[in-house]
Amino acid sequence: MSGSTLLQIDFFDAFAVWRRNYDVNLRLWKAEVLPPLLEPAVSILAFGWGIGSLIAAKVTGIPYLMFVGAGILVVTGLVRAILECTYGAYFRMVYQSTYDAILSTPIGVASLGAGEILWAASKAAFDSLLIMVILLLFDILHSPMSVLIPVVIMVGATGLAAVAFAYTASISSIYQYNYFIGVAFSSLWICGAYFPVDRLPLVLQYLSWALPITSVVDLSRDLMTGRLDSWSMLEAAWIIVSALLAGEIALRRLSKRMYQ
Amino acid sequence: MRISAFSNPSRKQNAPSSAVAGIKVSQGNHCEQSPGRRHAVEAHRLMKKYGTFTAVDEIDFIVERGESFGLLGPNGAGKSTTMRMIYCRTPLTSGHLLVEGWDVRHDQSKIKALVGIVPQENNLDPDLNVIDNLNVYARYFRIPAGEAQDRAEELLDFMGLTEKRNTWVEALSGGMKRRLIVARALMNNPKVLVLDEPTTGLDPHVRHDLWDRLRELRRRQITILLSTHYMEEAQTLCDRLIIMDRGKILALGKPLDLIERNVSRFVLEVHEVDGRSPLSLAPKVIAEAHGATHYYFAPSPELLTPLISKYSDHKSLLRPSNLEDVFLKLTGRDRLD
Ligand SMILES: Nc1ncnc2c1ncn2[C@@H]1O[C@H](COP(=O)(O)OP(=O)(O)OP(=O)(O)O)[C@@H](O)[C@H]1O
Ligand SMILES: [Mg+2]
Repeated sequence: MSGSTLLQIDFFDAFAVWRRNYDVNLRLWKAEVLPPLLEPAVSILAFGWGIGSLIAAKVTGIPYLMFVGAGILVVTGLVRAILECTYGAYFRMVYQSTYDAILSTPIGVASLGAGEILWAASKAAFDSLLIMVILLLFDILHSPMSVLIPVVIMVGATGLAAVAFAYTASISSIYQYNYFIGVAFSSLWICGAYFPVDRLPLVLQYLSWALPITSVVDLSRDLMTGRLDSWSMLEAAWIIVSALLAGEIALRRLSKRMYQ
Repeated sequence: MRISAFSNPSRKQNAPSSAVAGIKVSQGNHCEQSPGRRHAVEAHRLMKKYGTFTAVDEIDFIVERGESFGLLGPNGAGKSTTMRMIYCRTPLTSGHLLVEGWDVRHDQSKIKALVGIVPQENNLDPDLNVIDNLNVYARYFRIPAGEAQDRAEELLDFMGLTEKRNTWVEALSGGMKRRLIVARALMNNPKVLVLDEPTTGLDPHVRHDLWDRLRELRRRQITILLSTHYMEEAQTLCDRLIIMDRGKILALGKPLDLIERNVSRFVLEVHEVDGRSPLSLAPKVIAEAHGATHYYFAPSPELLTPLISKYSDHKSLLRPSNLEDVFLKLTGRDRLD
């Protein structure tokens, strides 16, 4: 295969796939929307009131509640994207043969993959909106630039969802997720969500900044506090480029899997 | 129940400029090829390999427009693989394959817009109810919502599923699921309908019911490709058929012609003849032994009646020969041994 698979995406078709997931979720919204948000909401309370009360000093110049609030906001969205493109996608692909049915229609494999990944990213963005309401109640959304946070999370989640999706398209058993989940959830602990990256040993700092999710956390936090600079631009570029790269790999893996 | 009144799906088709030039496909007596004429399906040296294993081995056939065409063959013969190549779900390894004049290698979305598919394995969407299965599927074809809704209601009526309109797919019986898949396959008003074992596992009522619907579609000039393990089904539904085995076509023709060509008109089956070898007979009678059964084929029943007395202590059956005899003869009666 030559040329970019990304260019084969027909966004009208991808939207039809997206709509299918949307319709299903609309039916299940009670189970799909609220319960997964309970844990992040409580964790803001736990970190903010509990741990936050032990931390008198400001962290990177802002109160800890604000620091960690931004982190939880991003992590909630990213976890959602991971779950949607691992177990959710695997069920649709393998057990429900949903992809098989879709590929029997004029929809091509690139559009199918794009629809799935963008759906996961949309769900991440949607979740982050709800968490932002909670943060608003705590009065820690200071800058009006905060309205851009869901966009950053959506793009970042696209990249992470694409990585998860590439993995999903490559495995033959649902148990293989143990490896992926182990690595992915570990990386969420070193991406600067709960404490500043510069507290890590130097090697882990490099590793952390290589992960686009660290940039997603940092950029979101900067939008929240209104402290943008040229480093932020670099982070935005890295988030976008890495998402495109992961997307390309994911679509290729899916194509290989579905057309044997 | 006027499916013909449906307007075309929104993915409109322009006729392809020309079929692949230079392909000469020669097949059984029934099939004349005039240059420039387009067929529903044209396969030329069609081959599919999975790794080193050859599932479909350079087969040639043509399906005329409006024809009902059967694919028969034992498990693993390559029927589903052939069909999956036709509806662009599996890439070919080599050869040429045109569907309604379009090349499966280059015009996939055009072909998929024209073809309705009933896959061997159910792939209805379990997250959606019956009517949404049809509506959501229609979106994949870019059929406008209002039009899709009307067509979905009509098709539910046509397939006798209106009562189940709001039922979850998981709560349908096997036969209902099968009927819903047929309804779904008709959502895009296909020119070619591909049915991979549509009646496997259905009770005789549902099966005959489905046959009636398929005959109705046939009257509307829809090209039908059908695979089945029921010889009776093939005999009543198919204008022509192929019998495949191990990726190759063993025979092609009209069901009755195939019977005439491959076995004599009548057959005497004698059961439970363990250990005995078949009797030697008149020149026009052909004997075959398979497992514990002897088969005697002859052009007239009179040639066979004397044998019945020789097997007076066995169960025997004198009957007209049928497609199943052809199938068993060509694919080897004792392949399970
Ligand atoms: N994805 C695949 N990978 C490897 N081998 C395959 C694959 N799909 C089919 N085969 C093999 O190709 C051969 C033909 O399979 P196919 O499904 O076309 O048979 P079939 O005639 O439809 O059989 P059945 O009557 O059992 O449905 C079989 O030997 C099968 O094992
Ligand atoms: Mg099959």
